[in-house]
Amino acid sequence: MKRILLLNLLLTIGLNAWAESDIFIPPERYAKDPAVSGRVLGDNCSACHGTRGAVFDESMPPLAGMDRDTFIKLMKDFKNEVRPTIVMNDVAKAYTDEEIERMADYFSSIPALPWKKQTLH
Amino acid sequence: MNKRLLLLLAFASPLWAGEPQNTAPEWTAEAWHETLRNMPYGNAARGAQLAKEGYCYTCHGDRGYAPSRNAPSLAGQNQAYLYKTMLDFASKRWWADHKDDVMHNAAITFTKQDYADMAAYYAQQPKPFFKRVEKPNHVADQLARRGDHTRLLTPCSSCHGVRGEGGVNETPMISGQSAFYIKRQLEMYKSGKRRNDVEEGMRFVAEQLTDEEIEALAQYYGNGQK
Amino acid sequence: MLLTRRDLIKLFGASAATAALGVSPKAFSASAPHLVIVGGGVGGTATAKYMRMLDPSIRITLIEPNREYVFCPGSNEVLNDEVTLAEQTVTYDSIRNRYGVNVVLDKATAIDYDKKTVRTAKGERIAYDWLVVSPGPDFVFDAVEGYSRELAEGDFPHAWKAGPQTLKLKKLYQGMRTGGVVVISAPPMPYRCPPAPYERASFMAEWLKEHNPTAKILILDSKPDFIFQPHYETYWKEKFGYGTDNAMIEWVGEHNGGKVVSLDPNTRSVKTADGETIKADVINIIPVHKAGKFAFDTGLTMGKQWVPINPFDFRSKVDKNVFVIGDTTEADPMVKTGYLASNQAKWVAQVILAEMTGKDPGYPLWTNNCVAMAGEDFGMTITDTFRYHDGKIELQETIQSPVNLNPHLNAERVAIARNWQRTFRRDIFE
Repeated sequence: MKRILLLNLLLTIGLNAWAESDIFIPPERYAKDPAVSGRVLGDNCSACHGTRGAVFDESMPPLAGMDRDTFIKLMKDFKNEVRPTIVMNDVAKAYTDEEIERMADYFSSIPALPWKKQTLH
Repeated sequence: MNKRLLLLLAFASPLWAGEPQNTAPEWTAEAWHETLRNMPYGNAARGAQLAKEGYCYTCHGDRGYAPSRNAPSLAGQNQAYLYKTMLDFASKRWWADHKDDVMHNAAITFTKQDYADMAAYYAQQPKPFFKRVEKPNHVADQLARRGDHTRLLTPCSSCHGVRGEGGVNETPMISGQSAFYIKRQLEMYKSGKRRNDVEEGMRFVAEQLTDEEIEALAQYYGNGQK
Repeated sequence: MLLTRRDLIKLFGASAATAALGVSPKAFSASAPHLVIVGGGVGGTATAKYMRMLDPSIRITLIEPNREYVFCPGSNEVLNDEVTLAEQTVTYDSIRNRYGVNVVLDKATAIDYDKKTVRTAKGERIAYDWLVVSPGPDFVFDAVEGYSRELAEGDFPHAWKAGPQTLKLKKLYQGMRTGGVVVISAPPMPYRCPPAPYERASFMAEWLKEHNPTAKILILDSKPDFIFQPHYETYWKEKFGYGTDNAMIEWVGEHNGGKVVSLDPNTRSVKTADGETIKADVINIIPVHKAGKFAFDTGLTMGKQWVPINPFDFRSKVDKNVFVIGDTTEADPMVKTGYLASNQAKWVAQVILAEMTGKDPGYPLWTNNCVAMAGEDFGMTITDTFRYHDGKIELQETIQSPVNLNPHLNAERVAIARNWQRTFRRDIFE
């Protein structure tokens, strides 16, 4: 497997460097594969952001009902490492821009209500 | 077993017990003014560096302009309010739910001097642009400018400023925030989960607001961010 | 009392119940297709919930012998008194009531692939259209000579499935003599939750530092290195004198004779591959893993240690109507975590929906974005992304949070780790 180590992370604080075992393949490699739907992509976010992104009482922000353009702007900033983050840069860089847009479509279509108060379908 | 209890059993999802309780003593006016008198002099340049090391921009945005509805903007916020907020997160006087855990954990790694420095830094930034609503909701406009003497509600503007830009002492700027954030805070005060207000000032107000009034006020002061 | 759907209908009328539950009245039509799930852990329960979210009419049956499930992520913190086992325990109430899943308290024992039925210990035969098998891992006790299931349930708990053994291990190490020694035998890959042995050692050390400061924890490892090793070693140096003569935690890798080959319960000692005998007060052997018993009994393992699957849709290679997910599968290069089991489950639900409706299932992607802790002030994250590409599962990305001594960031990561534990649990069971 192609191993690409990015060693150019210049961060301001501490010993901020990637681990030896880190692997990153740019998402463009998968651009010609059939599309992964916004829902399949979005359901991967739920362990942190809640079922359908609808957890409103935890530190990680709710995604349900989030404005589409805001979502895209944030994810692209994460992906392009505009600034260091706690974890989202690493998460976002796995996705193509089109995938980010599909996730934005998915989350912006969900009501901004806690999962408990939503209907199932 | 009555129906109400059954409903609770069915839908309250008591998946786990033992949620942490907010037990820090509440602010009296005397204690708060004493604290304010002893607030260290803030060094904004140092505050800028600390805010960077604390990764504050992850949620609060570059220079404190929040990138989404989910966290408040800190730019142009009242300095005393920012300082007090960090004290309250550290002591868990402000602990409404687990959303506040990350602020608690962040706050306990900084000193009071750090709080004052970061407060100075954010307070120095220009306030977020506040567009006045052309035809404001009548209910919200009345509450904001006139209050409601029948419920002993003082107008919002008497403490938070004519445009919600923040007032004296610790009363914060509210107009730069998302409606989503303002609504959540009013609901937290109303339910009593947020209890870091001095002499229960905000709880007294919020407890008397209807859900519709909260929604209207959130839209009235909100910055249009979705 | 347990509330059934029927109770609710009696109380409120059918329309009220269905509106509140979000399940359509068609839900229990006997002619509806039937999804049967074996195993009510993270993988099986997530399949049930996410299947219901995709389709209101399919019948769903979950076969699980236990009334409650003890959630594993976060359970190491039972050891340093940060959480209780009760807080880690969840029920199937939401799965039953909100998602309209028929939860059968029974143990699945066999599959009749031709007749498409599952047999249970109580003698029932449950017919399925699709079967999802998610039994979790089982253990190869005799990989360490002298170790056994009986000893694990007695004074030598592995505590690798959160539950009574977790409490037993806590009682043993917290009750040992002043200056006592705990041996943790860490298994070779693959095993569930790779950082967990080191997280466990860290939490034990945190408690011992306060209550039994001359005690020692010796990690005997069957691997030459481990995940987050620089993070743990950095933290252990800072907190527990790691690498000095007074170290509270000592780690011996496989290359230095760390592999444990036998246990003598009478002398309370273990022997390593180098022939060294080590006596200890508490011995925690985390056994070698293999596929769950049900997978072996039903031939799904096809003579191997793990269940071979089709990497696109996790269909068993034995039968096309059977899907196998979670720790029990051979899904290289995926690691064995609940997070991945849940994301496999969500994808399998999509595949079943597609088959039911005659549509294209689309394409998968699975993430494994996990957290681990070294202490109440030090958290770490790993971000893994897997794609299906050229007929294989491919690891697109694995990135560990940097070893970073920024105290603000490490404390924030702990809040996020806890957030993740709770939200993940709610995503499966609420």
